[in-house]
Amino acid sequence: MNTMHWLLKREFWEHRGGFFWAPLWTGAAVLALTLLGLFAGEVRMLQAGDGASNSALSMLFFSEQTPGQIEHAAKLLNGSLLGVNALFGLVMGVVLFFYLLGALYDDRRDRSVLFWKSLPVSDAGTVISKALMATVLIPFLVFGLMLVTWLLLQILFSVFVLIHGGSPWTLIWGQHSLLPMLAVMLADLPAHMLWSLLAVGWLLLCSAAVRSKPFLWAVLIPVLAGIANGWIGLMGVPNLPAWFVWREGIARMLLGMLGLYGTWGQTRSVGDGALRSGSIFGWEAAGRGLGALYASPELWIGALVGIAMIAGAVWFRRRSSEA
Amino acid sequence: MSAVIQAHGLRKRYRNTEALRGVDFTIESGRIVGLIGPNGAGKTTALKAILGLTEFEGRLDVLGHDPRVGRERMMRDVSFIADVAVLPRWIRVRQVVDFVAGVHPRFDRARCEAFLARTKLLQNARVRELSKGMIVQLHLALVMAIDARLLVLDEPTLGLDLLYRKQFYQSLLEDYFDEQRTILITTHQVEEIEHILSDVMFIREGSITLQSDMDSLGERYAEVMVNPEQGDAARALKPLSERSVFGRSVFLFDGVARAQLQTLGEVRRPSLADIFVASMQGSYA
Repeated sequence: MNTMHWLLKREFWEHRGGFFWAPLWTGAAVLALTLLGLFAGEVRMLQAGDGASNSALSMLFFSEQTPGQIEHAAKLLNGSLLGVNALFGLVMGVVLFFYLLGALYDDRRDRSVLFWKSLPVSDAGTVISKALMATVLIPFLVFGLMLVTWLLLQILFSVFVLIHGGSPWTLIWGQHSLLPMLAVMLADLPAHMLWSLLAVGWLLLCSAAVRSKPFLWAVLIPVLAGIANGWIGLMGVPNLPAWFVWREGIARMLLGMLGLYGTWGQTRSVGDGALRSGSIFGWEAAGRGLGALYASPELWIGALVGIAMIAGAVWFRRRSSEA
Repeated sequence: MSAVIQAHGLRKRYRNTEALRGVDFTIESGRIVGLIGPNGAGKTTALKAILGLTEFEGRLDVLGHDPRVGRERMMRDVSFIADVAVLPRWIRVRQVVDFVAGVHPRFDRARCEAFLARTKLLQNARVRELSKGMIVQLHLALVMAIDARLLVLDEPTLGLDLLYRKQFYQSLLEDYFDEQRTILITTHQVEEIEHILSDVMFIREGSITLQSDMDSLGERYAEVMVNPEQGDAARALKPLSERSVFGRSVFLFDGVARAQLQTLGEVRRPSLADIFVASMQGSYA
């Protein structure tokens, strides 16, 4: 257990830029841009006179709130939560994609694998530490930083509401959808982890197995497999349905660790209609989608295949110092 | 004395070459063994087999372990330095010390800090900012603070200047080596390790051609400086090699009686490098 602690610490030392600073700067950028937007809105309101603007943000600038505006504010609240969430999820996905591709390859290329292998650490321990980092630790860390950013964002809104004599409690902190929404997001984290196992396994397997160019192998093999499946279909031979191969297989293999809450499960289960109508912003629909996601066999089968691929990565890692 | 390494019929085949051809050897505890051979003779393959870094055929016992199974347990008792440049370049001095202290049950942190205090290494420096010599100082400080029974060194001083090379072997002898430990070294810089070795093994084209302790090596091989008129008499004794120095010939003999040689001229102990060169003749031909 102690060894695992140090293995995880090592990953964090090596990739602190991607794991910590990238999400931190993302948060800083969100806050800075929002502040600029609020100032711009303020200035435009002053120029145009009162009541000219009815953008989503405008209700922050009135002292009296109508029920319609409060409802509007709830949407802004959830919308900002989902927006910040999506942005952090995207940054994390990019960071993890390249982290995983290099995780068992970079040290073979610069031969420092010989140093790591001179210590009493098992190959399985090494591979598992990297998989844990990508499936559990980093999603939690990024989720935490995302929440902090979002809270700061709400504080920023509150300050603007206060300046205009409004009540931040009515508009923001007292919204009844807030806590259930956060609960649903937290409940989605394990689903994200299970969902991403396939990508984590596949990318680690490529990272451990290839002699060079892990990116090319990782992308080409699934894409060529998808094309081959389509071609078999063209010949009239029974094949797997294209939507299944591309969305459940290939997209998940390559991009499964992209996104935090809801990136995969909700849009699938709730459907595109809900996404367009905005009802996905409500926690009830999101909760239903989550339940359907946990009940879907794809989630679990993909996770098991991912675990098998991680085992494959251990096998290759053991042979990584050959020749 | 117990055997640290025992190999029987050790065999390793790459796609189109046979790197080890059924090698047998035993290394006893408390020895410093040099494994010496030309490029491509199988030195590194043999070390990798011992360290569990490669698959092989045959039997191999390292401190009671088969390196192919339970490698991480074996590595508590075995340290190795493979080349100078294998410390990860991104890591800081403090971090690598923390990490080894965290994962290695036999690592003595205070000892490592004491070794580092003798160098100019800064705790916060990254490996990529260090010179080759300093990286080796760091690696050696880590390895010497591990209470291992077997230390394997594969060209540990390649590319270092003379000062670092001397310091490296001096530290190993003065601060590390004792009768509980065994060191196995490969290097091409034979002259520099000759005086610290207790045993030597020559490897050529995947086979061990010589395994001996240094004392018997001195009894077995002799170098004689012979005047030109006695040259034919010397050649009749089938020397391993002949070279001329200032008009006289220097012959290297293997297993010829000392009394017989003394009639020819001045008998000297040959250097390990001379024995190596003579016994490897034709390696690249």
